[in-house]
Amino acid sequence: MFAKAYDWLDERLNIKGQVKEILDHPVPPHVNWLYCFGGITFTLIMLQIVTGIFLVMYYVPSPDHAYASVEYISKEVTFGKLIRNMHRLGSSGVVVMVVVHLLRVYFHGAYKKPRELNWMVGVFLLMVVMGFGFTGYLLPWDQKAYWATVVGTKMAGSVPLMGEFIIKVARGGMDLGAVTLTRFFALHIWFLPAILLGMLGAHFFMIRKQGISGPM
Amino acid sequence: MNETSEFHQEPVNGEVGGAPASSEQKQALISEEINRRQFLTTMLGLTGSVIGLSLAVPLTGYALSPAMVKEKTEFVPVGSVTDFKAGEPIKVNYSFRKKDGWVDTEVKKTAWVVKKDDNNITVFSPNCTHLGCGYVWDAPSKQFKCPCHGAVFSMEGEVVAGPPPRPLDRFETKVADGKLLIGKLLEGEG
Ligand code: HEM
Ligand code: FES
Repeated sequence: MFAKAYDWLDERLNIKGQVKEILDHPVPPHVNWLYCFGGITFTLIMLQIVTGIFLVMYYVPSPDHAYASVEYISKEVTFGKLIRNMHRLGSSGVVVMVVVHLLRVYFHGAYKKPRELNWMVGVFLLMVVMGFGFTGYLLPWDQKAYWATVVGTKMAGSVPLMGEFIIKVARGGMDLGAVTLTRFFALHIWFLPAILLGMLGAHFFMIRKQGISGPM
Repeated sequence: MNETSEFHQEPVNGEVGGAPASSEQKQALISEEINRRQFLTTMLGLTGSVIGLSLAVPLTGYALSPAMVKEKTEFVPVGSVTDFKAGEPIKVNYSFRKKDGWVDTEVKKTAWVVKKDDNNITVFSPNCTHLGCGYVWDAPSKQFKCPCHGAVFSMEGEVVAGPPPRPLDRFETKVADGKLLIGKLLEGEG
């Protein structure tokens, strides 16, 4: 059945060649399970995107409603607890896997020429992943979220001279409040995903272009 | 017709490492490779489907969640039985608290109370059954009149004139401790 549908598509779009090129990519024999960590990270990221999209269906980024809407998801929405906890656990999973991936690349020396650029993109990806964690942590608007963000933004504010400016930009004012919540929300669901997907595109393009690094 | 795929030669056994194989060995490798390839493709499809399904079920439930909640209407008081006079319909304002998702709101509504005697009170929805305008009581003619398209209803809610397809909708009612309570809205029949 699938073969037939595929033939039908190919007859019109002539895509078999490209698909083969992309999917039937020969993998050199030295590649082992250690090379899976980047892929695992990416799989987790896709899960984060899917569960995140569904969370936004009920979540409200306003101090009046954020906590109640999260509680509503956990207590009243069918499978809400599952989806929310997948997103929550998954966020830690992404951070863990991205670090394991980084360590693999580091100990294989895979960051060396010609892959320096991809290492740099990787470093930015790491920062984006942590940005997701930091902005997402505030969203439930409970005590832990609130004070973690108070402390986190205050740290950024300890920079000499620019401190106050940085705090005001990060919090949307001197104090944590409605404006902080909406800007963290915007970062978490629009800015960071856009940056992440763009950089992942670059990351994967370079991997394909350069091939996976050779045996140690 | 489609020649591109034929031009595409794929290396069968990886390019790196290993001594050149004899043609017999190559043949054996190719058939083994194809079996392995089929096996892996099937397993990949299977695992993918299991993961996809175990995602699709909770996500669908999550999105359809509101449809699985049974709406239940509770009786709300609209006034004392003695507030109303026989033969004189009165428009009452009443309010009740409602859970709207994660928000607890106060809903304000109105209804028309028509009393014949203490044991015979009807409460009508304030919306005309034509297109939903609010109708008014016309005391001289003892009829309800809708300003929108000229509907006329009797005191019993029957259509006297105009376009409405059915009599006025009415609420379930009950009396407790001298208070009049209304419940579910029942569609007017006729
Ligand atoms: C958002 C998170 C990331 C994802 C989804 C991701 C994904 C991948 C994937 C699928 C590969 C193919 C090889 C493998 O999996 O080991 C790869 C390779 C690579 N990644 Fe990442 N990566 C991420 C973050 C990083 C970070 C934080 C670094 C380092 C700072 C990095 C540096 C590299 C380099 C240098 C390669 C080429 C390795 C080689 O050719 O052997 N990546 N990445
Ligand atoms: S809405 Fe009342 S007559 Fe049309």
